[in-house]
Amino acid sequence: MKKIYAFAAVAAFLFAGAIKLYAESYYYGFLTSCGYEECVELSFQPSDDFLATHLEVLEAEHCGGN
Amino acid sequence: MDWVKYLNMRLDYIDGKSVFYDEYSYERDSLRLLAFDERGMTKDPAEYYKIISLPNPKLDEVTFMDYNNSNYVQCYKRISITMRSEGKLEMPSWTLTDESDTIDSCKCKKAIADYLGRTWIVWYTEEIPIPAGPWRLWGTPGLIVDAKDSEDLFHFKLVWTDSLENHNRMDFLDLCYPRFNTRRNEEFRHFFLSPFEAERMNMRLRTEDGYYEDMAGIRVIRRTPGREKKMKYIPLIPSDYWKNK
Repeated sequence: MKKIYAFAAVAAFLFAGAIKLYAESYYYGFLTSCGYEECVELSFQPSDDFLATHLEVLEAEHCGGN
Repeated sequence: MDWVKYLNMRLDYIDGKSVFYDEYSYERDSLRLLAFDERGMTKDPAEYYKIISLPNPKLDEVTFMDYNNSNYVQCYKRISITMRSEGKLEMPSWTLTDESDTIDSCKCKKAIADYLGRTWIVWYTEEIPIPAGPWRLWGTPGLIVDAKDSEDLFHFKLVWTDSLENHNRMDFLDLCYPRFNTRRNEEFRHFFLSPFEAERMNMRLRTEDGYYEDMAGIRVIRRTPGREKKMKYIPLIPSDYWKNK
């Protein structure tokens, strides 16, 4: 019986460790040519393509674009 | 008018099909293939610098028309989210008037129709005998060279024509808007929707505060206060059009 309880305790400890979520956040700042500034938190690590796309849109919306 | 947008749109017509898109949007997407690798990381900084030197695209919509099969594909893009919808072409009930004019050395005639929620006044030329026009305007006896809505919100004007040097732009543009819902690297999201759902999502992404951020997984922590978006978004198809659909 003691062995069963010990096994159950170890299993419970491992299960509790497995459900602990390790979440990362990524923080980026954008500064446009006209001085508009925006800081964002992302739940994913962005690529250069994504960051460039986001900045382009901020430029177009807040600075009027080219 | 408070808001004015200057567009650089292009209409490619090949064998009964056409695609209407922003020239700068196409160039940006093309350069992206050279500038970024499959993971979206920079592989050629020189190509990236070419992107940022381009004027910003003013209309992130692409319209594919298949006149032989009476189909259309309407695509939208909002930063990292694309939407695609497909449907049957609706033939505008054009009233062909007797009015004629010469526009850029082309003999043109005038036509009017209530179409997709707006009254459109167009000039077409039978000297170019194709039923195509800008956006989803079509069905006149010749190419539409000038189109304006009755409220003066939109005005398409043909600037020049030329023979296509290559035919692969249509295929490339089609690839940019997948026919299935997918998510690449948790960043770029593609939606395949009904015409109404695509229009509604596009409208919400452009006008509803926070909606794009929620969809894209972005949380804005801080922004420059008092700096509202300068450009007001007005859809080509008004919201009222969808009420009875």
